[in-house]
Amino acid sequence: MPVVETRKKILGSSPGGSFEVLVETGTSRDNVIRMAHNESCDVKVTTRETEAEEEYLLTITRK
Amino acid sequence: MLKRLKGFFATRPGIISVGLGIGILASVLQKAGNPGNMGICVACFERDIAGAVGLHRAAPVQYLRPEIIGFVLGAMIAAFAFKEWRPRVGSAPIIRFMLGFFAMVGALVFLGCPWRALLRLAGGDGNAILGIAGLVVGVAIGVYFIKGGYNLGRSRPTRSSLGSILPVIMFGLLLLLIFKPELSSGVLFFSSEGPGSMHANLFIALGIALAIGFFAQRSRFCTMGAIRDVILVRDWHLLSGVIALVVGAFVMNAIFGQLHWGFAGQPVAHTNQLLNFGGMVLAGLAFALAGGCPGRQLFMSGEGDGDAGIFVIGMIIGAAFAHNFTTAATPWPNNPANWGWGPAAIIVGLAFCVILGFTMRGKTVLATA
Repeated sequence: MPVVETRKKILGSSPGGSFEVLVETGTSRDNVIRMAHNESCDVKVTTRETEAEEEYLLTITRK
Repeated sequence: MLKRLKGFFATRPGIISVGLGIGILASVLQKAGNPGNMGICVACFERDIAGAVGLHRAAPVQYLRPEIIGFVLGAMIAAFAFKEWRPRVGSAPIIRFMLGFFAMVGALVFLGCPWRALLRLAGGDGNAILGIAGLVVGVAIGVYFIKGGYNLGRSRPTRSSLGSILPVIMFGLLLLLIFKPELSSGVLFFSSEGPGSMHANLFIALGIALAIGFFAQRSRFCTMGAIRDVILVRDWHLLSGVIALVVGAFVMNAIFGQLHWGFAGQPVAHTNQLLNFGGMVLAGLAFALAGGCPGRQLFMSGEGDGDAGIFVIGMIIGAAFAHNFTTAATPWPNNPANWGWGPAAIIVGLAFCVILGFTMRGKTVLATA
């Protein structure tokens, strides 16, 4: 689950630390953003068009 | 405007509005003719559909429920309107079929899916407390596996024709319901007594279900996800919608005079608390391992998710087996002679889910699924 993996990464990072997560569905995007906000992180969303569909690059920064 | 509306459903007020709306409309559906504390029940209604097309012979529970059809088609309309139509397949389909199968077996021992468990509670049925407790335990076991790396592998984008198979099946069922063809085999079977004979007007039920499907797709409403998210990441977002559902249904039940407190004599329910609890442990675990409650599986099917569609078909076939093999509870299972194969089916289902939980792990699964 993207949420579980991302949360592990957030909890293992230090304040100010930043990383990127690539998710494929709107549901995953919303779930990860909500969880990241709950964990006091900023999230920047970049929507990418691939051949088959959209995907979302989330840049997560721990405050 | 579209963008603002899109954002609203991802917010706390958005999910609460959707939950409240579902609760109110479920109570209205009961008032309009659906069975007691069963304004909406995904498991019961899929079971009724299985009966209507002749997959089981339990005469009191046969009807082509337009609510199921409306959920899928409403979600599909939302998916197209908001550009979330994402045809996808390939994430362990046969496992999803079996998870749907056993989720239904468990739900029919309790006599209701998570949605109905909440609606039973909102109607005053105390037995629902044990069912909901079982659901929480089942989902918690699922969370344990998810934390341990359980996954069914990723799905792949596919053609729209493949993603639309379940919606098209639902549309076919709608045509059958409207035109009611008479065949020499006797199908369609519609109950003349019992819960299957109790239903709201087709177009009222369909209209309400289309609306619920639409808004539930937008908000990602999921009863299993609500519990999972609280246990897994302490996220109360979905649960606030679920609580709103109970509040909405409770208030409307009070207004309509549909509130009856107690344990004994509740509509389409029994008082064997071990079976109420155990049935929902199995259902909760199966939903958690499949990533969505039965309602959410219908909505994802409407987004073009073929794996969710397989889960739905697994539930319908599971319902047929549950009645044919007497694993579904009767309203009187306190006498062990009336238990049927229910307890045995719960044990087999739990064993299946636990084996999956321990074996479907790690990157190997991701790479090969």
